[in-house]
Amino acid sequence: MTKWIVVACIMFGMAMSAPMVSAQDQSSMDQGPMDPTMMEAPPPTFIKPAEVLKMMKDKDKSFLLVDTQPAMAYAQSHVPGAFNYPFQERLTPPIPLPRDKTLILYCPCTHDEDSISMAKKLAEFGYYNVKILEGGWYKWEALKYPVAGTQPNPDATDASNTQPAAATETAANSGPLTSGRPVGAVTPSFRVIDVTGKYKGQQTCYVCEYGEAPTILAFFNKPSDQNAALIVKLNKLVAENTQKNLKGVVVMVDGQGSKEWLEKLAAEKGIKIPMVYLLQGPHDLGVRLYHINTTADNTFLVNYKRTVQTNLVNVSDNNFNEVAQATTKMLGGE
Amino acid sequence: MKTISVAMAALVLLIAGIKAAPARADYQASFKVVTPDQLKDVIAANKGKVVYLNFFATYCVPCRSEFPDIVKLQKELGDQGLQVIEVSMNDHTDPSDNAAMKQYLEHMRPTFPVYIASSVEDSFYSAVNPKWEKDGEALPMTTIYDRNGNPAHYYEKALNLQQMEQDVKPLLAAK
Repeated sequence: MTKWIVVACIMFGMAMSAPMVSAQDQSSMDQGPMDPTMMEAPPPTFIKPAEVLKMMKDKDKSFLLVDTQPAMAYAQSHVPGAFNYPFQERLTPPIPLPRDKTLILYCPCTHDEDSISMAKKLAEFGYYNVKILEGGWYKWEALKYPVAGTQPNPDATDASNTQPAAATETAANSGPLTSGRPVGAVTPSFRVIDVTGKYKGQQTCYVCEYGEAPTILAFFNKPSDQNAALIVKLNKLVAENTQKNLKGVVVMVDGQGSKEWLEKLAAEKGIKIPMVYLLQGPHDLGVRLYHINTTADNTFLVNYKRTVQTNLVNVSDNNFNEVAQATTKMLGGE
Repeated sequence: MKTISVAMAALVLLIAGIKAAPARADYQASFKVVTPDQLKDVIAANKGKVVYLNFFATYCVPCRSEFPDIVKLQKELGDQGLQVIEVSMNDHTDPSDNAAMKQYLEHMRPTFPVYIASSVEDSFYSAVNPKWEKDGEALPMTTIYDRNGNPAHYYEKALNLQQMEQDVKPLLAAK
């Protein structure tokens, strides 16, 4: 019996000592500023949004989300509980970030580049317990995870209940929206379901097919009269420039619900450019890859050689000429 | 008489061929998830062979058009030291993509390994080749490696069998 008690005590002791060792390591990492020449910054480590969400739900106090957006963008929307510390080329002390928490950085960038850069800079000031939220703000938003601020992203899971007019209103009220890959970004291959193009009813990828040709990718949130009018104009613009090999694709973000509307539109208005929808609707990979803001009524990307030349959000009947002008400029540049 | 025997032999071979070809239902579509690092290891493990690395997606029409030629290329030149490796850029986290992959492979019946990308984010493309990401992440994408494992040809468009052979045959000849 005594023997078992001794064994149990030894095992208990071992179990207790293990977390203590890691706790010591942790605290040594969180110590004050160190001579940057003495310690090499570790490579950035990433954390998945789902993990962060779980930590938030678990009310985990061991971390702090650090939002690197400009203050104005932060005020509009951010991850709940995030601390705003806008990206800077050079950090100037004092740095208002705690040293006893894991800092989880995020940025509104394509490759988490601002977060990675910020992590390196923070390491120079002895912040080594830093992680990067994988996919940053865009991924968080696309996953429909909780958002705080003056203009949080409404949950777009039930698209069918919203009337087109309401959608337009939401978009108009939200001021200058950002949506879609920025100018200079590439246009990745993505899957769509063709409704009216030559691959009717099939999964396809028009970006793959059109390759480097000048292409207008127009993402529309939901069916609406205004969007119908814009599609008619886009179709005309493409028809006028077929000799210059201009291509155009209409992508409905809300998914399969738009299918009948597109078929009717093609029949009634003689739309020749392919019209497609995203299989998973607002949760589709295409929304995430293209950084489509699902509160925007529409997003026009004017592209050449698979690179965005012009990005226009919430285009209306009145300013469609901006799309036309951007296209003319792009085609003239060939 | 000789002609008859040749014809008979040909007939026997033909029947044997038909019998030997497994029924469509026998084909097991398999595709493992691969990270860019693992992919580099796969390419390195094939040093000594000419590696034809091709990225595709089931929904990509140009990819679908060139795929049968890639299957032919492997059958034709496999015994001379060609190894085709395919990587799908479908989203492995999406069940509809996995179903599409299964259907696609059952239709194409490739005789070479097929993988599916661990991620479809920009970071995957840039980790495979920064040029690919910079150029717009086009599909299909092909890189042909010589027997020493060095990239010799790079394309961001679909090729036909003749174009494939044109690049691969000289690399196979250079032992």
